[in-house]
Amino acid sequence: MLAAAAGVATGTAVAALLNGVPSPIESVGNRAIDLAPPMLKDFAVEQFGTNDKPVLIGGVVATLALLAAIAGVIGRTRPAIATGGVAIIGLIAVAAAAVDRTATASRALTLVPSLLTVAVSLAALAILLTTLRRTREAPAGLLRRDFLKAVIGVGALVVVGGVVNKLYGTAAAVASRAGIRLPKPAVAAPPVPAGTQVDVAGISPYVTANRDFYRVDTALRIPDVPAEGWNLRIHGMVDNEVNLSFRELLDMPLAEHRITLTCVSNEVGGPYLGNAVWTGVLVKDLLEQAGVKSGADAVKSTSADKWTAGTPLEALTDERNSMVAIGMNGEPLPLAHGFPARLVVPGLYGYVSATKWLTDLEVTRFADFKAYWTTRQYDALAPIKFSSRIDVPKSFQTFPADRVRVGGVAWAQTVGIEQVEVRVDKGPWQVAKLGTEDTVETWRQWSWQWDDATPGNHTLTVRATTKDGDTQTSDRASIRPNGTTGWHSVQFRVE
Amino acid sequence: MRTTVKTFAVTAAVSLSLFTAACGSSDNKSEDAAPKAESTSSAAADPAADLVGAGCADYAKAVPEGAGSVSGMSQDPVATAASNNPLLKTLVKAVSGQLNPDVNLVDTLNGAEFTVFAPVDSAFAKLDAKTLKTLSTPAGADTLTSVLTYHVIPGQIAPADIDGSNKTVNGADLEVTGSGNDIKVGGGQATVICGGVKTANATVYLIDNVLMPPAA
Repeated sequence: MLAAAAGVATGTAVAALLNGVPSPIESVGNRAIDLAPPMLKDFAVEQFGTNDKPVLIGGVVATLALLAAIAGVIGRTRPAIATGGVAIIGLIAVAAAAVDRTATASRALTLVPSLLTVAVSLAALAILLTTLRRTREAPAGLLRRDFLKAVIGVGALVVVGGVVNKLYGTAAAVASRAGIRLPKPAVAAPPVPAGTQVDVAGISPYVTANRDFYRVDTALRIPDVPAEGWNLRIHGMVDNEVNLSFRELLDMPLAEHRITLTCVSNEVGGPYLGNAVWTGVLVKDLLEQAGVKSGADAVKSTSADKWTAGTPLEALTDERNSMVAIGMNGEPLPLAHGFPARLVVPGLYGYVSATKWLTDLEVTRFADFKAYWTTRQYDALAPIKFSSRIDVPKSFQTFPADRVRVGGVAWAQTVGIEQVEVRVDKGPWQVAKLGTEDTVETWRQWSWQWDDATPGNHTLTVRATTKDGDTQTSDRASIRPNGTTGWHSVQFRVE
Repeated sequence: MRTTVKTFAVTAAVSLSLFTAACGSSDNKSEDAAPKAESTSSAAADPAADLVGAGCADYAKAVPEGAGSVSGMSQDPVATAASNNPLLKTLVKAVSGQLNPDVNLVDTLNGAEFTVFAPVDSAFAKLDAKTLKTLSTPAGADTLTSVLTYHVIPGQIAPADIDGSNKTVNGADLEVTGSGNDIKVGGGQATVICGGVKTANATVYLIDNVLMPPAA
């Protein structure tokens, strides 16, 4: 009897789980995210960090499984109640899908998976309950096999659903991206100057490969945005609204720039920054086409999954190379990095500027809107805090006394790094050797050699000074509300 | 089939309670919640699945939820995670420069994958006051570093593989014997209270005595 409950439970739960894009489970999850008070969401992100999404999905699935199990148990005696219950759960999923902000397909298409789920679940429940009733009425044996068959049948449906989902569920954007060839940029990035990459074993590559580039966003599932049908709308406080297809964007003069992006969540010494070659159209050119009206001080950018960021108008129109990027390291943007187009703004943390899967730029005023993270206790204005990191030594690395060679990166986007200093233990600060500067929008590598190294355990600490003459503070600031500060230090050993 | 049913029901119940714990609690730490990184798409592993040690139940009871709980610790880098655990106050002071300003291993411990044997507060309380005092002086910095690093093994080791001898980041070998609820560390110097606690970058074993490295 318990088996019946499980059959129904797994059947409905898994059938629901494997049904489509965005799946009903994800729709319910997204709904839960959007409805939850910011405090609770922060708590969940805090508690589960990078796993907050799987945990949320797991929670929805588990809740559903439990409800389905209850329905199954009730169904043994009161089929009508069970069927009604399943229908209600299904309707919740349909409702969630109907208002899912992450859906990029048409409304009708978005509803298909959840409606299908309800239909399949109800049918499976009915079949299982009917066979089960017949099984109980008949003597043990033959008919029991019917029930088993029904269970296997439903199970098979689940498996087929899963396989189909795996085979055809891949994003349409994958095919779209494969068909794109980036045109030669009108303004190509100059070659990387000699000496930007310092000679220290184990240091980060000067240009970060796409597969190694950090990813920080709120998308439960990467938005599936094929370039065909994509449109960038520029509107708000402008003289003429501009709408651009992907083809029209490609046909504009493309620029290519190396820019180092940084995430506000990067801890001191953390991994959330990377340097890539971005290809795209300068935002100032696009805004010039639209004609910005006086009084505007911000641009609100929106992604295909309705995430928002607020960027100072000035950062998009001054001398820095802010762009709507369509290429990353010579390839069309990878899906995880915002295909088909994203914003890249030198000198600002990503949460106020680096909108991926970009669809909408609204020229507006900061006084008139709040963006996603500014409603969650983060500052509206968030220039990247200049900082430095030790890449070598790694934690507790051991060096032979005659070869203590260390290095890392320092960044002060739009200003530039003037000097990097290191010290061993509490010793005097010593000036590190800087790699060649590429541009002020990129990070800069540094290296240092300890010539008279003494055996034992030591701590290396680093600090940077900008071209404006500011030196890093040792005070530790936490991520919220506008990024970390503090000197990075690493313990190592000399033998 | 029956067993499957039960396992499934238990799993469902456990994940459900995890979910409600995350979303139903008002215990909100005000810092650090941030636009965090997307992890790989693998399903959420239950952070409590791998635990060993007779003290796990007491630990879960003492710290049922929040950033210092089993599930809470699994998402922060190890030094941050430890700082949220009310059982590890002395250890946190010792690794963060609060016991001895010359010894701060926070960034270093957060910066790679480790297995950490973490003496709980009552373990430090067993040390005589004079020893602790010495460890807090400039002259004691090297000894403190040596003691602390003797508790850290490079790479993450799960409870199933913990039996054996491993080189610590101190340089000296550390012997671990036994399995399940009976794991001894450092030739019987300490017993694992609760082991296999996951943090973002390290696997932690709470132990009941501070380990003393062999004389160099």
